[in-house]
Amino acid sequence: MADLVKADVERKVAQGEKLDRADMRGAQLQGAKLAGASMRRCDFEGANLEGAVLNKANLKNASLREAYLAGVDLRDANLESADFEGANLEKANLSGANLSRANLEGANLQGANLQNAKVGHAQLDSANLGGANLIGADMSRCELVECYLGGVKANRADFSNANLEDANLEEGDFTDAIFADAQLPGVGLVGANLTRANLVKADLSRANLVRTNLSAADLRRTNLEDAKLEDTVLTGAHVAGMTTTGAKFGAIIAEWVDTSVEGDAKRRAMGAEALAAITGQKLPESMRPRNRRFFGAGDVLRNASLEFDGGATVEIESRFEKCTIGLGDGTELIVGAEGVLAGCAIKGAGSITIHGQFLDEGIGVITEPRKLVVTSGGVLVGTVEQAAEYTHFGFEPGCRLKMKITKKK
Amino acid sequence: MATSPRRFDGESDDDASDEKPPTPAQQPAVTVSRVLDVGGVAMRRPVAPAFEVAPRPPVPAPAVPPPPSEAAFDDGFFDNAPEPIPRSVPPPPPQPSMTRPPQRPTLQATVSKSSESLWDSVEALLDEVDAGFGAIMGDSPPMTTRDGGARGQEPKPAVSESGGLSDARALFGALAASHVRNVRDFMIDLDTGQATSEWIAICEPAVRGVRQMAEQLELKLLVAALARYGEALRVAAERSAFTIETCSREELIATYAPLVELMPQAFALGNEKSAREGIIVQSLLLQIPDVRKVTIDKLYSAGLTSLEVLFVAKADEVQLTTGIAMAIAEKIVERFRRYKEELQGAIKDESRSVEKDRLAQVTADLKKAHLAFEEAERAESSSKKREARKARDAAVLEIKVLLARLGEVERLQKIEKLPFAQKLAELDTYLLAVTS
Repeated sequence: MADLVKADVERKVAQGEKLDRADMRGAQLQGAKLAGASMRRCDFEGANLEGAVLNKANLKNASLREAYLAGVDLRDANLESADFEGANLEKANLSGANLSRANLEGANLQGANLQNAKVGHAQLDSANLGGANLIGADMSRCELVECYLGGVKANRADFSNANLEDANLEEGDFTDAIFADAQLPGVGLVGANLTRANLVKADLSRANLVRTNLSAADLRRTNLEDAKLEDTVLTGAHVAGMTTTGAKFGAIIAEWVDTSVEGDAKRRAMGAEALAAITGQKLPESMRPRNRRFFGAGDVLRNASLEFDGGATVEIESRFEKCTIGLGDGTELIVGAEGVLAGCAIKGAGSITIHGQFLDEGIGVITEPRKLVVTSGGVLVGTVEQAAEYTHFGFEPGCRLKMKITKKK
Repeated sequence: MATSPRRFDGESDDDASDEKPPTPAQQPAVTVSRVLDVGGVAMRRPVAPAFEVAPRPPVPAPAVPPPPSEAAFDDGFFDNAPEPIPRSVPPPPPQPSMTRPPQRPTLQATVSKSSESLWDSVEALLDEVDAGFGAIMGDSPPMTTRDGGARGQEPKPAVSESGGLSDARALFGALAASHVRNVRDFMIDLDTGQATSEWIAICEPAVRGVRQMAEQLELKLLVAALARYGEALRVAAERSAFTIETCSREELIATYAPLVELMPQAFALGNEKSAREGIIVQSLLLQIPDVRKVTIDKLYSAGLTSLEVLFVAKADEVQLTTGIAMAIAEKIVERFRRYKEELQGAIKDESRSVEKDRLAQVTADLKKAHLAFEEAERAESSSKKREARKARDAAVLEIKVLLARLGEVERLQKIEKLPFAQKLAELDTYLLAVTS
């Protein structure tokens, strides 16, 4: 069978002949049209299949060790338990393929397309996946030790329980990816985007998190011992139970973090408190919030008049109707994602952050705030009357505004 | 360069190149086809219908048209435009160097061995062109050779002959391309500012050899261009102590340009340079720890793609233009500085023995690493496999640099597609061929 030439193989496949267990070692099958072929347990060791078309082929348990498969089309192919050790799959199309339990140790998958591929339990030690497309791929329980995943697009990919020890994930896009219970000691995440990624109980000890974007990432019970964090973005991250012993901290960007155990953003820490929650260090007495008020979801407060002292932190997840809220100098008022202030008046030189809704209802007004921020999910409908000193405004993309800004007469 | 054995009646004759051509009386009827070995690549040159060569009585040559003008000759060098060149008659003896065979000993005394081979090949081809022309002119006419044999009849419009001459020129181009290989290497190095004056001693004989052949083919524009370039080489050797100094570099580049124009297949650097340089730059970058695709993409996006640029780049500039970390930028600059030193420190010789020796050494390292990998595989040790894999990859990167420097881009591309065991076999074959 090793003597079969490309035309013979193509002909047999076209005739629907099964080539299971065929010996194709060292075969020269560049550009061969073998879509849908049945080649289970075939031996393609050292073969050249550059640019071959094998979509929907069945190569279960086949050996493709050290095969040259650059640009091969393996879309939706069955590659379960296939052996690709040392193979070159550069720019191969493996989207939708089943690679579960496959051996891809030391394989070159640079620029390959693995979108929605099933790679669970596969061996990928020392593999090169630079610039690959892993969007929606199932990489759970994979062995990815010293694997290179630089510049990959891996949004929504599932790496849960995978072993990524000393892997390099620099500048990869892992938005909404899942790394729950993954082993990531010594991983390089320089410049990687892990927005909203799930890293619950992941081991990120010794990880390099320089310039890593962990906005809204779930880092609950994550191990960050001896990790390096510099210019790391942690705004909105869920940090309850995170361990950071021995971690090296540089500049951290964290407007607020969620310290709730449930990770439901009901306990927000801001400023120094947020930093303390991240670093695990106790805040000095002088920096601890003296007055903290929290109005939980489900409560409704009507026609109330509330006064908060300067330096207090007030977080509202409830519904306030036609209330008057007085803020002391430097008071922090946070309207949480669930919070609604309908027809309320807020007055005073405080800092206001709106994640929820501030609705006018004919009378809503915010007077003389020092700082007003509406985050991406926030709604502000009403009038803002600036103080003599101008108010600092911050509006994130995605926020909804219908506001009139006036100046105090 | 290998000599050009002739094959008579399908039988190979290894000593053919050393033989003197048989005299007309001795010459048997022969069927001619030829295998020319050019720079390690065997080219079977199909000769127009196999023909019979009858013994040639020494008859005075008939009157022939005058030789073509120089411009016509040079301008149409690589075209197939018909040019009636009177190869079948003894050319007027304007200079001693134009007369053959008495001129041969002089030539041997002045040109290198490889240029002698070049001479042999072209001379043999000219014989063949004459014979072929005769065959085409009639079924079995009395024929002559350019040595002065008689023709049975006046040649018809010399379409075949000019085609033969085009073949001769094409062959000359191919031979010259192989012959001036080191000159191209030198110019590639010169272009990136890394050439040393040691190269000149290698290039001068090659240029001289091609020039002498061009004289024989009356390629006067080419001869003049080669003379100017040869002179620039001579001046550069005088002026430059170690590295080629700027003034000479510019002069060499300027005098090389006409050669590219006149004989692109022998002198053009474009594709070869970019292919080699691309491999070298990428392999050197990948030798640096922490430099992988993301960093390489950033460097390329910033235009840091050539050796010339990377040799003079400063770490802060690299960091500024690419946004990569300073520590990595420093490593990159350091790697290219070291490579430049390696190049300048290496002794240059015609056979590129330093690079070939190094290649043999790294191939041995690769073998060792591959054995270690196989052993680790048998022992099912993941960590040992990873280590061995790294060692293999490191060796492969160095091999890539060396093969690219030796101009073996195609071979490299072929090797890259092979499994490791075959990679090693291929490298062994290559090393055996270049060292024997």
